[in-house]
Amino acid sequence: MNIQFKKGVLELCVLTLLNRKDYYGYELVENISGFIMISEGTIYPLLRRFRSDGYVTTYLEESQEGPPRKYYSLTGKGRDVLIILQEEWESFVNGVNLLLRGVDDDQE
Amino acid sequence: MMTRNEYLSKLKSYLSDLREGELREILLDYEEHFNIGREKGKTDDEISAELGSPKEVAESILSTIHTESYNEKAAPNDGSRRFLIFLLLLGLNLVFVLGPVAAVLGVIVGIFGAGIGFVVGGIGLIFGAPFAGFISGFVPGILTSVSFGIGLGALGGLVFILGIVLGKLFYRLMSMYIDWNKRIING
Repeated sequence: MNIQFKKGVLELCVLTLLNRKDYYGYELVENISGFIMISEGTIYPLLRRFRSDGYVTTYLEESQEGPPRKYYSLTGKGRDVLIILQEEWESFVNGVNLLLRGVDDDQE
Repeated sequence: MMTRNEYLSKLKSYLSDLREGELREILLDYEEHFNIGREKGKTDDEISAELGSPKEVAESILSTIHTESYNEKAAPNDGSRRFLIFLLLLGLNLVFVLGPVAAVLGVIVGIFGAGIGFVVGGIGLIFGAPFAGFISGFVPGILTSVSFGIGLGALGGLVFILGIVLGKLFYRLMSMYIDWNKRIING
């Protein structure tokens, strides 16, 4: 699949999950790779970029099992970006679906 | 396939150009990933296979970092460009604009002064006419003096109004010019 396209979709997935609750890195990676094929290592650079762009903040929290984990939390700015990406995604998917089902232009 | 330490040291070698603090932060993320994977019962081989090769991961890290440092560079460049324009404008204004502006301002102040002078002179003529003879010895007719005084006062009033009109025009031109300067500096 086209790398740019995959990156955009990955951004949408990460922001969507973080909109539900705060995740630590591993948990986030596990959730996403349960649904789509990715190289898991590429999610961390994305998270770093999100943080430097102000879409997420991070904090450390102790875990029962081992050392503290780095959690990611969506900011208001991140939520705004998510809404835009969701709209783009929906209009894209709708367009592709219409095309695949063979709806002609003149039928609209 | 490789162990956690092999994976991390390979990744580190691909990222050797990064600042040390940044590199340590990045490696910590992957270290944490390995540790949690181990807790969940995965082997290092499995975890490193899922992560993708260190080379691929390093490339994805470097591609995001390059855009970041590019963005950081763009901002100060923009700032220094603005500062340069500001200095140029300041020089231009000092050399070419300040002199003429001061001259025009002087003329306008002069017009006001003349207007006030005429009005005061006119009033002086109207009320001073009866006593003029005592001071200068020259005694014009009272009627002549008073009407001349009224005329001079009216002329003064007109000159004063001219001053106000010119002053307003000057003020408008100056604020337009200052706005233009601001727009150029702000790009």
